[in-house]
Amino acid sequence: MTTFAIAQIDELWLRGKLAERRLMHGRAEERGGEIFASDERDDALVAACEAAIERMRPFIPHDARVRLVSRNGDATMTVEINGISIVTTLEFVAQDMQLLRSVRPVTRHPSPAPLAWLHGSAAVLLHEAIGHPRELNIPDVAWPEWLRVDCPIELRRASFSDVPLRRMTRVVVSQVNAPFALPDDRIDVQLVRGGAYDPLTDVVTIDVAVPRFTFRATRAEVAAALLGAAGEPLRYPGVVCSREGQELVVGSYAPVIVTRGFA
Amino acid sequence: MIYRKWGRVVRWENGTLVRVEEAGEAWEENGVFFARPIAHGVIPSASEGPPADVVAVAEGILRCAQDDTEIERVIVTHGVALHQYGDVRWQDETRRVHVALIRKPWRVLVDDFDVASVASALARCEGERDFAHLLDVPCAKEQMPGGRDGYGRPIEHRRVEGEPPNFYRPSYRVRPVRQWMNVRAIPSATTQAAPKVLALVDGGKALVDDGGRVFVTPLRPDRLL
Repeated sequence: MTTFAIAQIDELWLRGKLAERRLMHGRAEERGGEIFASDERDDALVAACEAAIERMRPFIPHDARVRLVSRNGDATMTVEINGISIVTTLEFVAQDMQLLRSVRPVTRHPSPAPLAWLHGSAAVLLHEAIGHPRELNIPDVAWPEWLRVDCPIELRRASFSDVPLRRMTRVVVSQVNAPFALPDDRIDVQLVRGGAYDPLTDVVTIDVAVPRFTFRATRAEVAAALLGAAGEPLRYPGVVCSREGQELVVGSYAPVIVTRGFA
Repeated sequence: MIYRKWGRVVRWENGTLVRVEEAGEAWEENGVFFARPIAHGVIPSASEGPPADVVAVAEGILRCAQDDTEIERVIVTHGVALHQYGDVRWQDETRRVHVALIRKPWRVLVDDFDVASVASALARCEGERDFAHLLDVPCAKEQMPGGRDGYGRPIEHRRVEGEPPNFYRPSYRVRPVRQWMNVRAIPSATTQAAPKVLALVDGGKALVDDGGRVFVTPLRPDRLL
């Protein structure tokens, strides 16, 4: 028998004022191929969530839309300013806020100019192009030999009433002896709004937040577009991945990667 | 005023049967929305029986796969809930299906129990043809009476215009939002023969039957109910 227990507190803060607060807890047992779920309370988990939320509150910026989520004591803070957001933790909130405040939302039209994926943002591209197909047991396409992607997959669920699914736990992109040249005429991808992978069409969609543009490409096109990479993996500030309506945080890391444009 | 909900759901989700029991309450205080679980006590009993009907519906849907038409997703739910807002108490029972059928390159979404007829039509689909101009008929809409909204108010017959009088509360954890409910188009004009829309297709399209021939056509999403 497999047992899963969860407690979660989430709070929405708008410009420094509490707007919403939810407590959720529950337990699921798998017996005879069925899941029996109820909102049973585990006091220790609830207390861990309360403590984690308390620790985060002093760091809430007063000029932003902020969502605090503590799940079994692990806490994340999603901060949105001017339509651009990051997902951070207590450990990294200062440096991630600095990044968020340093970028400006400008719109770019699709362009053939190469893309330089900064701040670990290439992890989002490869989350969609490699991670999701692996979750779905879809065979890989041919990726550059210098590319390494560590994305362990486990059965995970967002809540006690959800069916566990094969989901990534993290995405760590690295490179071994990759070629690298930073083109002068390029677009710097600084933050990514979201992405998707459709197994029906094998198409990856990436919504870049800064600068603002969207592109779609097949996995083979993404693989062919990878030109090079440099340095160690950098932590990307925030990937909350949603599949089948279940939102889960996926730790994401990637070096600076250069791709062709996807115009 | 506090809203309370006690609920029980049996859900068949892509091969896994899930039984969920939960109860919770929500309230608003100085504009702040709060929600938390509460003791069960009075969970309604309408769906206490075996989930055989949920499983039977799901298995029936799985049998709709044929030739190059695959079933990508099947979710069948049967739930019963008791609601209370102030002195008003009401109960509802819901039966829903959500199915995604695949026939490359199309993904057809079905939220209706008659999956078999859509699957059969999809298998006969001849390709894409643009009927959007025929389907793009402006129509008035009305809210049909029935049930209660998220604050326990009766949902009454209204023409859909202006601000919705009712609030939708999909879960006790979600702050209610104004929304039209039980909406349908008001038949108001005669137009030339148009194909019959059978189901939505991913990407802003629809599966249509045009005199016995089946096609996929683009749709204007703002024309959807």
